[in-house]
Amino acid sequence: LAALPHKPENISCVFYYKKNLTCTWNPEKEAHDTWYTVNRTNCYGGEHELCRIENRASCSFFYPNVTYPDNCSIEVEAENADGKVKSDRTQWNLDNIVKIEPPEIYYVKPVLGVKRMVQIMWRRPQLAPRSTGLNYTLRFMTVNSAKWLEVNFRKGVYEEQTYNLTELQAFTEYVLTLRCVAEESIFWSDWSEEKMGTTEEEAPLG
Amino acid sequence: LSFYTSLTHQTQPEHPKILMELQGAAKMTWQNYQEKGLPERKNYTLPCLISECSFPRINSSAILAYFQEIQRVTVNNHTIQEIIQQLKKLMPQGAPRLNVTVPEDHFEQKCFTSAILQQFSNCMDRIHNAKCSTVAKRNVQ
Amino acid sequence: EVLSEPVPLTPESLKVSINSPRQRLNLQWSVHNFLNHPEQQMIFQIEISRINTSNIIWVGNYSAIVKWNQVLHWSWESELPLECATHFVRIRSMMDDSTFPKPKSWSKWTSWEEVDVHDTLGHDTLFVFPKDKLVEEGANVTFCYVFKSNENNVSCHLEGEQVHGEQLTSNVSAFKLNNVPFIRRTGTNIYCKVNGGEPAAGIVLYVSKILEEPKDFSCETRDLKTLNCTWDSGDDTGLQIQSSQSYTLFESFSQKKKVCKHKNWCTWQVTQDSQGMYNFTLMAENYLRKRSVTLVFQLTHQVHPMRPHYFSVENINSTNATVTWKVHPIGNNSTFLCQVELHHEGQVIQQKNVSIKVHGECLLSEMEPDTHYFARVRCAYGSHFWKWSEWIGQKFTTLEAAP
Repeated sequence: LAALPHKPENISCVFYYKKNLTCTWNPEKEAHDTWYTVNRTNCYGGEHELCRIENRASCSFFYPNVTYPDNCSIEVEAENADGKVKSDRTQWNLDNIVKIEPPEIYYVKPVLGVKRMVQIMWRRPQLAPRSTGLNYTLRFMTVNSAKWLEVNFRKGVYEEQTYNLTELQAFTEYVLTLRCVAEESIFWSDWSEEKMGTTEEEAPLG
Repeated sequence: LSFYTSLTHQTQPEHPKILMELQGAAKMTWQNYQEKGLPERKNYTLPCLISECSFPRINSSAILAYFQEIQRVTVNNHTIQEIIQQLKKLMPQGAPRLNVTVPEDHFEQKCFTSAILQQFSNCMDRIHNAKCSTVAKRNVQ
Repeated sequence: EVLSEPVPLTPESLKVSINSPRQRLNLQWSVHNFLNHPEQQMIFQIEISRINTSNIIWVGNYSAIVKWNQVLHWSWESELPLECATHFVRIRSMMDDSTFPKPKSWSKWTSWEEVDVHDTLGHDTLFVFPKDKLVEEGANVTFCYVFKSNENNVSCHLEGEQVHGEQLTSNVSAFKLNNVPFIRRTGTNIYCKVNGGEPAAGIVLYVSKILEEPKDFSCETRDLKTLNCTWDSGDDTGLQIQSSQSYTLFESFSQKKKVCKHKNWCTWQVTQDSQGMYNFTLMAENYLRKRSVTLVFQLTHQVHPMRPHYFSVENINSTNATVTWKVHPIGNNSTFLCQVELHHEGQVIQQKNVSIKVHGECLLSEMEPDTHYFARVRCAYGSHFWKWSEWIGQKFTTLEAAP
């Protein structure tokens, strides 16, 4: 009894900017030896590229064959000794699946004379689309707390990469971390390394 | 990004993004390629824009021809390959292919490549910082 | 029978050709009017001069057994690129045969053969040589410029720094570079320019790292079926114009050879009929040099067993437990020496050696009740120790003691 491979489904792709486009699918494992051929077609120029893998439900197309921006169509063909099965053709706009590196926080420090506030400066991820604004999530908590608080904001390409975090406790040490996402993408970066910063002292009231 | 759209004279929404990626790749390629001991060369020029300021359009097919020749004489240079990929995206259908010949002599090849990469990087910077219109900057924020 | 004084035989038909990339002059000539000897031991003296015939830069002798009407060949490598100056060559000969009495005398010189490439240079006015030369790091290199005008305002730059040379003629200067270093894979940049004049002319000098002898060359097998050889290759000597060094394994008993795909490891299939002893030569090679190392070993002395598997801790009670495991069989009827360790709080508190075939078992005793332990095992090939396998192990906790 011929046992064709399962039809590849739930195809999911992530675009690591200037690194690779990695697609995965189900099933992860097949009973028999199975070869997969992933066919990628660029929207621009219609260039094709094939990625072949054996007994693994993941394949990557590497930079510079994949460059941002683009709109790729992906089709996965599974083959074993008994025959071949093709997946549906799926469309992937790199804007929506780009995953970028975490930002790097330069410093967290109070602004002279401004109470209960710290200013954060960071470096925009170098490996991020140059024309895309980025949405950020800043996570912070006092050093002896266990509960993160979050604030979200957007930064355009040319905007200064700083943020003033206000309404904090006076003369208190905070730990902060930052992540970002290209504004049309569904994949957030990893969190940045944590950085500490302390708010200014405040004269006692009355 | 409307200024960039005018640059490519195309209606493709992605072209302005491509130009900004090209600017980054051009700068990186030029910075990575620079070598001590290569004299400046005025006799190698890159036809980067089709018509200057009034309605500048990037000469993608000509630039592509130059970079495909440069790729032939450079070893496995990823950023040059990216520039080629990006230029192909800007290429109008059926654009004529320019004939470009790289000098055979290795030293001249280096001078040629260095001159073209520098001119392309400067050209993309000029486009990026074009005083002709600040619209690009406002739209991008 | 000693013959009378031989008639000096002037070499004839002297022709000189150029191998420019290798900076070599190739000579060919012949000797006629032989006495009735089928072959003759002769000495040829060669003089080479540069720029003009009176400026002799090299004299040397060349001995050869010359057959009747044979054309002889000889070549000479110039430290100066041949395009930089006109060279002149002449040659004379002497009989060097014991049947003739000393003293012997030289024949007359041939006329000077002139070797000039200036008229083939092309229509530019400024040239630099040698083009795209490939040398090893540490070599001495001479470059020159040829400027088709007698004004002497040409300056030359090595990697952007001006260098000074020796004027050979009114329009040629030579520059000696000693102990040239490796700078980059795309070569060292040298150019000369007419001060205030037209674009410069230049060359790329390709300086390659010196190919090193492979270090730590070692081979081992995990299954007596495949040999895995590894080595430290040292610097990569690849350049834009020269691929990286290649590595080839040659086994002398079987006379088999394999070109390795990787620069620091290679596999070798052990065939059924293959011998127990191996004599490997690992050859490293690039365009400029070859290096090799050899290794002789008995196959069964290089067995590095694979990590044991199916490791488990059984029959755990408050003070004892039994660890069991399996090894990957190697060949037929092989034995393994296995080492079992019991750890508590990061310390090795027990160690036992067990000799097994395939299935291993070891009792761990005198442990504390309700205590966390970690047991692990590794094995080596029984008939000859080469390396331990990797460890395999597992945490476990002894039972509480009965009240």
